[in-house]
Amino acid sequence: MEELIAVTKVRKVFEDAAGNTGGAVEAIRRVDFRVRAGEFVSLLGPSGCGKSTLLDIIGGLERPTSGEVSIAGERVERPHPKVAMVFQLMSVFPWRTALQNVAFGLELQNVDGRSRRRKALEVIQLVGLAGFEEKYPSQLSGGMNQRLAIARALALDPDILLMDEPFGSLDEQTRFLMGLELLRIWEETRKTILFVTHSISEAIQLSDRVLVMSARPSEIREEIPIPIPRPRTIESLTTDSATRIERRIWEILKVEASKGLIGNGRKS
Amino acid sequence: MDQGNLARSLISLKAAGLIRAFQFLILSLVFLSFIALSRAFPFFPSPFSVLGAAGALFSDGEIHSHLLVTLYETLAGFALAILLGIWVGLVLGLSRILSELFEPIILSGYAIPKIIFLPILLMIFGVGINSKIANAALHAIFPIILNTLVGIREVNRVLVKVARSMNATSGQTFTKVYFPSIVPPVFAGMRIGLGFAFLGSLLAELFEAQRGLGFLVAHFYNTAQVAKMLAVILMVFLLTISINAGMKGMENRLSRWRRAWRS
Amino acid sequence: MAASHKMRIRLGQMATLLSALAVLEAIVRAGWVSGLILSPPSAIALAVGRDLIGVELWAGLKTTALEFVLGFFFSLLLGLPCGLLFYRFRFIGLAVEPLLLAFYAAPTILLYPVFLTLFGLGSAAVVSMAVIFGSIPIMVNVSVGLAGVEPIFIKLGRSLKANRWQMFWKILFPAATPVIFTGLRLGFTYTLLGIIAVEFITFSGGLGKMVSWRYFIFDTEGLFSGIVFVILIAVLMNSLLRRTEDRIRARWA
Repeated sequence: MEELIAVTKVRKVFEDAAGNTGGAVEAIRRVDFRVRAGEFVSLLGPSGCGKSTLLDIIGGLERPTSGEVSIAGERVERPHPKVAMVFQLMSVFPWRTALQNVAFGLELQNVDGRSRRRKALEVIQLVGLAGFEEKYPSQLSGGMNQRLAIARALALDPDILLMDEPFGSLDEQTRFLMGLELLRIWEETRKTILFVTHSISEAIQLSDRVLVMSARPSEIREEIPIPIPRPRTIESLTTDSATRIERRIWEILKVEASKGLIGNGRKS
Repeated sequence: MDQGNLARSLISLKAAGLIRAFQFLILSLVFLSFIALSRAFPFFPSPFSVLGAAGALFSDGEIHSHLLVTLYETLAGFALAILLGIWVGLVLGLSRILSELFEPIILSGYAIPKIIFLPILLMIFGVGINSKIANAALHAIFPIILNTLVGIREVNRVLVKVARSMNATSGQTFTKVYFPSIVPPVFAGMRIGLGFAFLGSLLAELFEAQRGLGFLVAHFYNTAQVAKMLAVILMVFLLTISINAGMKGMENRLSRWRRAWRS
Repeated sequence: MAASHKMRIRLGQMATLLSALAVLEAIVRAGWVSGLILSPPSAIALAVGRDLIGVELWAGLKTTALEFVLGFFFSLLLGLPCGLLFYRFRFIGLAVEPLLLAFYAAPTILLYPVFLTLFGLGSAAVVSMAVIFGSIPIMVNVSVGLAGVEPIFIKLGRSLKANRWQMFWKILFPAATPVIFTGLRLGFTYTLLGIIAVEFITFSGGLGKMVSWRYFIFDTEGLFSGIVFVILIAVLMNSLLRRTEDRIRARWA
């Protein structure tokens, strides 16, 4: 399996609004990693560490100050056609029905109505929302709306899904169930997923590998493989070896997260 | 309006200064265009003659009694509106049933041209100063009632729970929880109400009066003293804008805790 | 809210209104308040009937309606492009909007002599004033609405490589619709208010003039009848607009 995503020596500095480097914020100091096709990799780090920024860079929405990101060998300068993003905040349009929302990406690409409808229905089925096509987001729960966002991304047939804490605004039980849903979809479609989160248990539940990030200015502290066999259940996630992994990650993260508590570096 | 916060957060001090400069530029352009207008249309006095007329009105003392009358009417109407309005607002805000019954009426009060009640007020109170005060009060009472109502309703229930859990008496709960919470919206209602009270007295004076700034505007119009008329209008505008700005400043200071909490 | 509860509220409001009318009727009949100041509701009802079959009311309504349509149309014509301009060039918007709002907060109706001089006594002056009343809420709300679109929507559009046109029509404008509609509703309401007020003060025509004229000729019953009609029209229009606005906001929530 070749490298699909290559992140090389990426550094990101935000200049202050007036253009003075005096007020500049170094969000990312140095990040280097590779992702192979079909992998599920998590980026785990404390709040405000710049993982969302990193995802934006990989998604082509931001340029790195130095270093480069390439996808399938091509350097990323703008959003790559084979990449789709899912965001944390509710990004579903309240004025469109579920179906219209899911078809949005295809609409922007001027795909004709009938194909759009067909594809949208297909992905709505895939994410388990069959029957809700004509409902409006205000009539659906948070979890359902995030599934719509995922469906919208999948409708574009991307090879890579970049997900920025997609379940962050959901309660814990829903989160876990959505994680299982996501894994089911991943196993069915075999996409490459890069998943940003600040929850250790979520990272362990979902990924093949966890990249643990430091506080801002961020770097990758350590890369932790998750050898727990799939499908992952409550039982396999609460074995001794799983708990050991969780403890290991917490050790690393504890140091980084407390940097935020003391107030070292402003919260983003 | 949230736009203020948005602007403030997006822009550094330097850009804010630039905007001020731009506003000054715009106002100067407006001033210049008025000069041009006065050259083109003979009946339009130049800004300079308007300013001159304003100065003359003050130095002659012609305007003093009228200014005082209008201010008196405004403040009296405003006081009346506060006395009645806050009370009604509190009652409606605290009682579910009453607010469901009567709030729609208060809300529609905004949409009704209250000037059509002026004849009724004139008939009841006569042509003198009282009808103007009544009109001012009528205009001012609606924002006051509404803001008080909303203010009391939106008191954070959690904070009330905290007080109750500590065995606060209802008196203490009122003074320490309800009152500080409702000060910002009530003050906003009063600010809007004062502006409406001013408008109310002016409208009544425009229609049928013997004294007051509104009467002056109508009088100067009828006697074709255009420069003086525009001078009075200008004064009214400046008065409104400065009082509004002043009260907004006070309101911001009172609400500082509120904005910080919200963000 | 349960339907039966709503109905109870309606009945409660009806009951209050009817009892208030009954009290007024009693007061005037008993002679406590002079019949010159207040007409008994029964006489007002008769005057209302007379107006409905008469000519004056409908003529006045036609004038006011015409002025309103023209006034609102020109307010849109001025307000929408300016609003877009203030959004597109945010710098201009941030500079001009506070000035406009400060101007708007002042008694702009005092400017009516200027327009009377320019256009003479008649509908043209009223319509010009209406444009001042109506265009400002529209322009401010259009630009603020567009500028206040959730950043996440814009980010989503960028990640999907939406072009300028798509970004505006499929994302920005729909997202700003609630705020823009509020601007339209305010523009509507203040235009009507302004028109009636100007008609009233200047005796230029329409419903406003009908009311102030009847006051001057001591037609008390007719005066009240006129007031009733103005209130009815204003309340009806306002409730229609608010109902629509609520429905929009419900969808957008």
